[in-house]
Amino acid sequence: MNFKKIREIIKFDVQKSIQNKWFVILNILMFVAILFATNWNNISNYLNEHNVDFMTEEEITIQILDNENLVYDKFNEKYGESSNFNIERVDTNTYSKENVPADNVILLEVKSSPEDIITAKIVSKEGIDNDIYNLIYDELSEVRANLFATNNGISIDELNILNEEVQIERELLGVDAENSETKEIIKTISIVVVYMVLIIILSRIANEIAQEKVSKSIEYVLTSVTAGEYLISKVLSVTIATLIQVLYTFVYYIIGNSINSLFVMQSTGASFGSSFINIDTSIASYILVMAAYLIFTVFLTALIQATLTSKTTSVAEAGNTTMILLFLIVILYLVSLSAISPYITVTPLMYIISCIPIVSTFFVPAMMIIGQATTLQIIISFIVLIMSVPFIFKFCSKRFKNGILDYTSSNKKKKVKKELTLKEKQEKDLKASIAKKIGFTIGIALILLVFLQTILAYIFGIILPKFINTDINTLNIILNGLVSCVSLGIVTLYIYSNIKDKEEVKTISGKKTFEITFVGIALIAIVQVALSWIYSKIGLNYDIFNELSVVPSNTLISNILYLIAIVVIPAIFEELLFRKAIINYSKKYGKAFAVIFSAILFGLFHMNLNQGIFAFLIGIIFGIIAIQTSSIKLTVLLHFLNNLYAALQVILSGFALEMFNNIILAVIIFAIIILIKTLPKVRNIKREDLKIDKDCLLIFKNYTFIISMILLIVMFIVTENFLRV
Amino acid sequence: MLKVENLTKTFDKNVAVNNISFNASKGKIFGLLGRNGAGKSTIFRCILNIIKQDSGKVLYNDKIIDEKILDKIGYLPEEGSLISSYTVLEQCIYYGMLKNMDEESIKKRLFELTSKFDIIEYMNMKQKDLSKGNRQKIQFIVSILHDPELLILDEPFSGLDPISVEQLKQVLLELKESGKIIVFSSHRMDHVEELCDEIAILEKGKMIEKGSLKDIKKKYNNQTLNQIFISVVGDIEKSIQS
Repeated sequence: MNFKKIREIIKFDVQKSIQNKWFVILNILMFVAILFATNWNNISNYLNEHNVDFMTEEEITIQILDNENLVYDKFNEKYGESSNFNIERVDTNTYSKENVPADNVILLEVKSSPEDIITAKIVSKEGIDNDIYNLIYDELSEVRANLFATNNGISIDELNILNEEVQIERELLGVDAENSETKEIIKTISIVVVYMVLIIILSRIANEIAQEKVSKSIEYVLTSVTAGEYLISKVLSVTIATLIQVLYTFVYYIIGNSINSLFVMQSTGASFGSSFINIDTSIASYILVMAAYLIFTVFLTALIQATLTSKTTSVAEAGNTTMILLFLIVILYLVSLSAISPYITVTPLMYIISCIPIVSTFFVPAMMIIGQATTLQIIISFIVLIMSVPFIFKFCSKRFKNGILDYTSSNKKKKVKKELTLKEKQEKDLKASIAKKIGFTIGIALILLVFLQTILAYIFGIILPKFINTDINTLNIILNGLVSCVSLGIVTLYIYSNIKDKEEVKTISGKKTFEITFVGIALIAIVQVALSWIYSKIGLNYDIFNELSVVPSNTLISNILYLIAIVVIPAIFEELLFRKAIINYSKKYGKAFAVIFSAILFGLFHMNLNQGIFAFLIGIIFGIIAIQTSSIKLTVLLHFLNNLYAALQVILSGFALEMFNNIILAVIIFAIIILIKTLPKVRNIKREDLKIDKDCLLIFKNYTFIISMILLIVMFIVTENFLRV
Repeated sequence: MLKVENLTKTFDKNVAVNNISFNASKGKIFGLLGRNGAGKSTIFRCILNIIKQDSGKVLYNDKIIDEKILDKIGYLPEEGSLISSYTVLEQCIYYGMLKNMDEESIKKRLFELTSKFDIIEYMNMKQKDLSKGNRQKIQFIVSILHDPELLILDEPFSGLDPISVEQLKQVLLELKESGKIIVFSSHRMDHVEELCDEIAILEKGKMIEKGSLKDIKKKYNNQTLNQIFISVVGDIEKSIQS
């Protein structure tokens, strides 16, 4: 090891991080903040002496409407002379939305009531100050208690005894158990400090090393020092820079405290520095142990961070590794916070855990301050910590050396089954990256869909009732329509903006359109009948719309809105998303794949088995139609008819429903005849249309897509469960 | 004297440098020529101990290169090795320190060199604000800051304007006069022709031609170096393809 160079690098780095304007600005701010914090008692004393009170500068008029004279006399007696209040008596409440009270005028209306003894009402222009509210609350409570006491013939003292909380005295007899509350606070604060220091150090070291690696400056550096020397000097320089910052903070604290004691001395004559002497010895030794652990832990975590950073190839990536480390540290922190408390006995397992390096920083000092750590345990864990340093350094510097010059982001260890030529490999990479993008886009789109539906339902649920004055059912319908309209629309646009291939336009003859429409109707009817038979056998035949309370009220407008929300909007927007955007987007893996993929998503989207299975089957029929005609006009029509049928079953009743169902029956019979007629034509399906490109599996490997699927499936199960219960 | 003996380095089954040997001696400029990816930078990295060769030796004055010798080497990496958020001065202090210089002598030397290249006004600018040519000049200054005995320059002329190229050539010739060993790589044959005493031509990690510039020119009927390079490398590529 070339210690001279290590020292020089440390000197350079520490100087660079301290001698810049941001460091100075931060320190000035900290200095001022600490000065204020330590001298707050002096400042508030000064302000009180000079009658500077920024809370209630303005005079407040309290108008009391109190015909039974429950509180007026009391208020007048107490606050009538006060400069802050102006108490008035009024006979009527003249205020309304047209006649709002002036600023700083409050109307307090008090009445007696048989159940609540007294009730009160406060009228003001805007929200009133919390202090004034509390004042009124306290006065009214007292009056109410008095009234209650006289009404029931008990004395006010008896009532007070009744209201008192049960007194429980805690006595802890352990030697170190004194000041347990203070110690608890100190423990929490010190762990927070450790965490803050680690955040600063880790992000700093990640940033510095990533910067040198990205700029390839590391190549030059490594011609002068070895990777190990570089690693240790970087880690040490960042540690030292942070410790200097801690030292500065301590200096600010001492300055602030000294100034404070100067004032205290003037007023009370206490000796200077008494505040330092008065520290509990157990707390002082705790701080020392904490500092010792902190230095080693900072060093070790910085080493790990540096090694992780060496494996990254950009500053952003290095930032992500910091997040991982910090996350783990937060978990450690939370575990220690919940596991260690004066009221919980330490188990042998915790003694073992507290010997692990880095973990011990969060456990041992915390256990020590509550008097649950033995001296032996502290010594053992500290020795383990020190002993681990060379091992961890060796382990890290080896990996650091390999990582720091490696600019390839892919994983080399992956074994390639077959030797691929360069071209094949490139093609494979390209395919994988395309699939990754498709997986990501669809995954994000689905997450966005769920997110928008939830958040919009919430937002519209608050906004709509304020603007639309109608019954709850109609409101529900409007809400439903708006939410699906906006969320589906946004998601469709998002997916559509990612499609680059232009779709081919096919023209289809009128006769064929007619044929397809009726074939579609026939298939829907068959699926519908078959499923309702199966559902009745397995107990899936519940009424979804009733369960979700989306039913129209008995007005014409409500019915029309119902038709729009349940029939028109889904027909258009669901087709746009599932049949247009998703099918077009996934078509490159084969038409069959696109149809099945969109149908599965369509099924999952319905969030319950009853509709989901139906939607999946219908999705396949619609998908085939959409892909064969290269348009969604027909599927929109069929979707419309399907939903219309379901909706009219709800709206119509009696004779009209009977008539309607007869017409439908006739149409379906006609459709089935056409289906049978056209069935022979279906045979000549092209083989290539059924092919599925195996690369489509790559979509399912994308992390975002997997998460979106988990989200959809979990929500599916939850909704299904809700509907069944 | 710098001696490279039978140097071989492979990356994942790709042979980047294949059994290369050459000598570079005091007061001479040695040119390594080759297309992009021929293995020039890898040879330099092996010489400088940044990466470890699979086999072969690199000797400087008959000693294996260690830390002490590394301090006597000046290196100009091919890709920008400057930290963009540092100012020129900070960068030079950092790199000079790594070569065991103290701050005062770094500043003195830097003043001298920046005035030579007319970039003295950029001293306190951040490197991300400099043009590519000026960054290249800074890199060159960094590489000769500590007055090295052996100078390894990877594409020193890239990004420079004609006047700066002349300035750089002048400085290189001065350094040569003062007895430094200079090894540089380039694919600009005109620069090589003017400066080098000895050259080696690389293709796909193999050395296909080596010797003094005069001898090689004689061998190929006094053609320009450019023509020689194209014909030699072109022949190899044809034979690989067939």
